[in-house]
Amino acid sequence: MKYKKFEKQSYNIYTIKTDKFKNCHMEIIFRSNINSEQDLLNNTFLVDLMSDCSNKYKNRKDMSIKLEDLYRASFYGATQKVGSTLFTSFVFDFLNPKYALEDDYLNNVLKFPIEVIMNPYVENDEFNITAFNIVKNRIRTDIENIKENPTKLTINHALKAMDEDSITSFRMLGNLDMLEDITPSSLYKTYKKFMDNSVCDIFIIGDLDMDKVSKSIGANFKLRAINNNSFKYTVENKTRKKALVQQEQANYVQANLVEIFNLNNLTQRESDYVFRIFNYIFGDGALNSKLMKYLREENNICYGVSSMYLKRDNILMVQLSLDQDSIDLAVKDINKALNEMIKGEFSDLDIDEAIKAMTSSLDVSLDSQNSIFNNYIFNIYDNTPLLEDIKKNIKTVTKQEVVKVAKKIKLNTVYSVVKGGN
Amino acid sequence: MKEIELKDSLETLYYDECDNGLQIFMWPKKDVKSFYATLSVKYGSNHTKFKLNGKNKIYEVPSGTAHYMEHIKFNEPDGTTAHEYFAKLGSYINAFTTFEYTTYQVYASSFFKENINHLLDYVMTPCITKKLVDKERGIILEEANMGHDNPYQDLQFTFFKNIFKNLNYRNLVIGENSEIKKITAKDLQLVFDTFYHPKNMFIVITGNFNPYEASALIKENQKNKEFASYANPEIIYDKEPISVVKPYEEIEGNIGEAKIKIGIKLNKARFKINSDIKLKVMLGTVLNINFGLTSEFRNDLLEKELITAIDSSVFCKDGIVLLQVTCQTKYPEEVTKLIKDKLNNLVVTEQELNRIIKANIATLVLDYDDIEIVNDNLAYSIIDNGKVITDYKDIYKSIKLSDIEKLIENIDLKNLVVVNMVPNK
Repeated sequence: MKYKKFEKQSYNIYTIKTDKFKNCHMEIIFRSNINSEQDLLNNTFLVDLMSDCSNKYKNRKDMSIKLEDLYRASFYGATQKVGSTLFTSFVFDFLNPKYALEDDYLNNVLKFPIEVIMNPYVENDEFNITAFNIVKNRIRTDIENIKENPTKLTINHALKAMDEDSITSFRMLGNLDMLEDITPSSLYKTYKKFMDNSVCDIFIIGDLDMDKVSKSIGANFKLRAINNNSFKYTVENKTRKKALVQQEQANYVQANLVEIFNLNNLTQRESDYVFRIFNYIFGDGALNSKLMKYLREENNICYGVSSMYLKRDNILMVQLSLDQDSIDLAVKDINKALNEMIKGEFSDLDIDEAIKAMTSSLDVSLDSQNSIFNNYIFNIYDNTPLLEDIKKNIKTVTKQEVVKVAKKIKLNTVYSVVKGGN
Repeated sequence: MKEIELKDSLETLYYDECDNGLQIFMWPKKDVKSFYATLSVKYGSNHTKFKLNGKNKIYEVPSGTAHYMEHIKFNEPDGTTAHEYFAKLGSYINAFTTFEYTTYQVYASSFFKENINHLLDYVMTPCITKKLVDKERGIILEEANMGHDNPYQDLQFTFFKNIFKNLNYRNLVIGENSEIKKITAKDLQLVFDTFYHPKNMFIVITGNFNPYEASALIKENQKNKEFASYANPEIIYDKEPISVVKPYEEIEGNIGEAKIKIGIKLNKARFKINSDIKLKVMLGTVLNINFGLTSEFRNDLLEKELITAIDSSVFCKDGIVLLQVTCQTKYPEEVTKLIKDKLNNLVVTEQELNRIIKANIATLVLDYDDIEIVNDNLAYSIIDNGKVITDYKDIYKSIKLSDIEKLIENIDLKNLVVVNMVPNK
């Protein structure tokens, strides 16, 4: 794999040349600071609308016909919270030009996302109302449909209970009132602000002549604004002296339980390497983890349990679906597993297994275009180690380091959704 | 060992067979670091009633037995679990059950020999005790309850129950809770002895490995195993009528916006197309053009704010063709009428057909970018088509507009089912 950076006047192009994949993947990323939940919804609405239509392709049908002509290229918008920073991305996948019949396929295909971004479907300083309403209806339905997924709903509500002012608890789709505040004209203002104030970079991976790619993009993609803002990729969440315990009622067959833990002052090494080993032994290592051992194998109270490390939010989240009569036992089991980690009640063999599993999983990641790509983005933005370096360094993690990390974990919130009411 | 040329992607697939009948499919890819192996049993949730060795006695097990078996299989005779063994290698294992088959998976990047040997060993070795079966029941019931909180599952299976009178597609793969409670160690032993036989299984390996070494390794492993003679199970299906069970049903769900599912049940024979694969491709093309992202119909419904999402799919099994359209709407009655009208007036133009075929052909190569997708597709094709399809390009090229038009003439709405899921009151 060859990494190369091309500096343009108002953005950079980062490329990874590899012949490992027949697909080419490109992301045009605009970074901005998150000030409110409304910001997240505004940008999500904007990219959703911009990936549905443009001045040239008036609706998703016309856009899809063009994408089909480009050998079924795929184009969509996505927003992602990365700590206190919002990534608003246009994601584009296309065929390696060597499999296309046309000689100028590369140039043509690269023009597509640029055309869409630079020329949105705007009339009289506002987005076209028909296109706007299609997206508004879709987002409204997505907001209302949250109740279709009890796990997602419980996680959302647990984060809000933890701290509704924390960026960690901000939802990408906000709420229905926020949605009603968006108009075709306000959204156009968001577009202008987004183009003027965001910091843009382009990332691309594939078996391509990257000099040609850079030239082609440079000839068509001209941004007026030159921004050098700095961004924070973490959120410091407040701790509590005593954990918050909260329960709500809803109309589900199963109950859902979420526990949120603060991770206090992890060092770079701890967050990049040690915590991965901790979490494998504690809860992320499939059926071999302590949580699975106690909750599923010994007490049979759930089918699965997940232990998610939200690195940039400095929290650990444990989630499971279960019978509501088993909630107290589950809380006890989670506590027991964590206490064992703190007391060092695990073996060197557990560490060895965790390291082997992580190494194997990193090898799988090195075979995945998306994993290589995402890892490279964060390597550029916040010095996240490259996958190869993680593989090398994770082998050096010791039991003492894992115990030290376990001691930095503090319970913040226990949130459950149980049967009853709506 | 046979080398099979995959014309669509210019890749080579390696095929071999053990003396005991176990089939081996391999796709080596040298530029990756990992490998992915799946051992599949041609036994799924549909197979609840069967005869053995051509005799008349009918054996019957509760629905959900195949999935229960998948859970039990991870236990090993020495009291450990397969998870413990593979964890020591740093490998990741899992399994899944479908209507038609059960697959045991291993992902790893080292210890190839140990991983493959143990995958074959643990899946092919019985370890079914009453104690283990009873212990697993609580976990499976929790898994089933997770599904009961999924409105999409509820919509799909209400629809299947109203479409199918006899076929087991009407039953959840995991089984209803009442059925799960009935499953015994004896049922599971019967299923293991009958279906977990090399003649009824196949292994697919994709990724970084040498196919000749892999084949030798598997053959050596199988040489050391003894199996009773294969009982040639004959699955008993009650004949499925073309008529539907219930044309309309309204159900409630924990949803934000109503969802409707509309399906037409048709006799496959009426299409007079010998190849199931070609029939599925043609029907998929028709639905894609009429209801997919490029369709005028979809665009019109969105612009009139009648729907927020629409999707379509083709089901073709056991002599039945099922065309399904699912959408999300605040106006279920009006939209149902419009979809029915559209299904009665399906249209495909030469330009649309050519565009889709060109895109399909060009993107066939992309299917061979990911070892997991290739492995899953191979296994699915072996089950669904009885073989690996090596010539999709030729199939696409053979489709003419006149064939499509004839196909459309054979679609009618005589046997139609509508399920309307509305938000809980």
